[in-house]
Amino acid sequence: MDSKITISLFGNPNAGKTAVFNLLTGLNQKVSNYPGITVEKKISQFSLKNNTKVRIEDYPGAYSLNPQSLDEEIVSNSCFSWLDNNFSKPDAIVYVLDSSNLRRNLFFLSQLSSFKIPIILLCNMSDIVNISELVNLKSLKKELGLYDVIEFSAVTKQGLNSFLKILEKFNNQFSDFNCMPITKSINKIVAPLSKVFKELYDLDDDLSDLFSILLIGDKNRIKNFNLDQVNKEKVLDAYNACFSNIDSSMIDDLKTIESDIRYGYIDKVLDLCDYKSNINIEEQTKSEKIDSLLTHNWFGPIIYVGILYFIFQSIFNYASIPMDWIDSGISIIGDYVHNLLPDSWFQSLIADGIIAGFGGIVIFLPQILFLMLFMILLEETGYMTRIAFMFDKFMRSVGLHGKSILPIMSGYACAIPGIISARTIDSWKERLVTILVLPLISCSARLPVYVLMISAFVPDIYIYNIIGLQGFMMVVMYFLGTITAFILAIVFSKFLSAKSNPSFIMELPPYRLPIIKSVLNQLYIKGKLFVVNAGKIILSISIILWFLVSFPKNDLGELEISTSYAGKVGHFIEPAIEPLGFDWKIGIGLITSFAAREVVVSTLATIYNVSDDEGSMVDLKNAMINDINPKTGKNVFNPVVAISLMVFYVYAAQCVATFAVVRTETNTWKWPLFMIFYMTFLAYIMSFIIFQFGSRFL
Amino acid sequence: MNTLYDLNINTSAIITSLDSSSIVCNRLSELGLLPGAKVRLINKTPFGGPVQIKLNHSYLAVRKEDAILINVSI
Repeated sequence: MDSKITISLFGNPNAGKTAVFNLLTGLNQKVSNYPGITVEKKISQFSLKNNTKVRIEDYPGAYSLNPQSLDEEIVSNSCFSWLDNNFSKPDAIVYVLDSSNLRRNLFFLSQLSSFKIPIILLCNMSDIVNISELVNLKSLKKELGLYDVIEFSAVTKQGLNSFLKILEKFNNQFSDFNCMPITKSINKIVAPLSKVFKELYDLDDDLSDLFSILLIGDKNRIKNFNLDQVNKEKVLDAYNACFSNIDSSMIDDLKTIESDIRYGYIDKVLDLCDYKSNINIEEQTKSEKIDSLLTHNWFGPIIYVGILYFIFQSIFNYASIPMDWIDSGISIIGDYVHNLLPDSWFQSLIADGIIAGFGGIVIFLPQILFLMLFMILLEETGYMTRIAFMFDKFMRSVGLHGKSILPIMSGYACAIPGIISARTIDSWKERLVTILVLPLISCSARLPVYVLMISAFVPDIYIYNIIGLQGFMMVVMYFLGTITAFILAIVFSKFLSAKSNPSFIMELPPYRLPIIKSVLNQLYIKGKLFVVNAGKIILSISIILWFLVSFPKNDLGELEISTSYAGKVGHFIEPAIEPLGFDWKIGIGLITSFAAREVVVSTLATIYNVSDDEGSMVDLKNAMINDINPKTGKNVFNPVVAISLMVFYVYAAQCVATFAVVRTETNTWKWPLFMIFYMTFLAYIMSFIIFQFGSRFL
Repeated sequence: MNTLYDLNINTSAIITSLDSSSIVCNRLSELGLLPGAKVRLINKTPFGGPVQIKLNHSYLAVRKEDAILINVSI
């Protein structure tokens, strides 16, 4: 019999949820989630040996049902939605617990257990902590009313088989639930609210108490309940009635009332489970020793800059080896197609349009993967949170937030996941400013532009034998975007009137060696996403562009690219971009770049290939170096034009997908339109200055 | 009365109370920063930046504004 169960993954941040999700789903994750669609939870599916299909939902990490950030709000909203709609309830909750932080991880678990959904507890990190020595897991299962408890390790895969077996035999009639009892004194306080919730949602005592306590702790949470006006007033009346029972001096204490009673309950449960706390906070762990260097007041920032410099230099230096392979591979395929197909428009479409256009991008995949790999490693080791910690003060001084570091760093790979990950920032104002400046961070789609321009027009020399001029130029481009982002962050935060929330509480997980499988998995998925998304855009644009540059033929039936449709468009905008040093061919590239920045490279590749009469693929670099402007008799490209073009790409608003995501994340067109405006303006002005000023020295 | 922010690096202390007038104490308490808990100050960033503390087995970064809400006794 084929059956299907839905499981939801919950857990504190840093408990290893992502690694567990990757382990369970392998490479089957749906990767089509962006651009444009706000990803709330990752969904995947896998089959068990007995053909049961398991649908697995991965939620963001959360410490509690009281949301402090948008990520946590997604979690609590999902749980609140179970109130009205039984169908959205999962068959089981899989709670991933960080075994080295048992007590704190039980806090959120104890909230979830009120929902009476079977909970399978994965005590993760059994490779680091032997949890069965700390606590009696059998008693824990009984006391917390869990479906099952498994010692688990996403690293060594310990417990994976037992977990899959439990799912195979999953029994949806489980009823041995157990959740936190409410003492009489608390019950007296929350009784009026509990009564209302019970009537409204047909809840049992435990769940209505849970929601009452949540609301008592923070009145603003009422919006999570999705109530109509009549019921909302009912609830608010009950809320006020609760407070009439309390002495006014106690009201402030109610903010921590839930934590007080919950930790009290957890400690009692742990006592019954022979919990041996091995905590000796005086002991200096290995992680602290690493921290004493990496987050040192002076060495810390220096090391950070060194790491960044290493990353960008190595992207330029080491990725060139696989790039050469791909390069020769593409020309072999292109030449092969040229010889295979008869001389016709179809041959030209395939070879000059599609292969040249696509090859122009695939060649940069090694560098993009390199960059993504470094970002994943920084995050997986726990270093990324240290960067946020060290630079929180600085980030605040420019109107951002310590946690803005993570979106900004991932912005070096791609702005879109960066914009989405800004959800972890607790305060709306800092989150918005982060989103607004994020596209100025040079993403991997700019890399092809930089690499092409630098390798063609910046001499490969070394200054003092250590600093490669080409690599240095690249760092300058990244620096330019980054520094502008910070400056504008100051400006924007001055003009935004929204109130900022000064809190910043962040966990710094102990340093960990990254799990190779999980790293490669993420790399594969991110790489695939880039190729698939960029591929779709490039393929369609290459075909359209090939048509536009190939037609109409002139009177002799020959192709004259400058009188083609695309050529006409290019010539039309040429006067506007001439002051920046760009000719009509680059102009076509600027237009196609609105789909995605890297398209400019494939556009140039297509233009030069179509205009070339020889049967073989042209080398884009040489074609650009040798291109002469017939009007002036000078080279179309020179170092100043190259720098001007790169600077234009540092600033220009070109990636449609980015603005679609900003629209969904900010819920209005106001901000994406504002970004398009200010970025285009900056790009034009900066390129203008560079070209006009730089040309005087040529 | 000492606050968490006043501790010297590598000294530990017991939390005595939270200044519950701030809404931040909600999250602080959920993470286990409650009266009776033992904490150690690991690191302080310069210019009044956040501090790194150790609570049980976990490390937390807490801003100065939040750390001064936590009263401790050594």
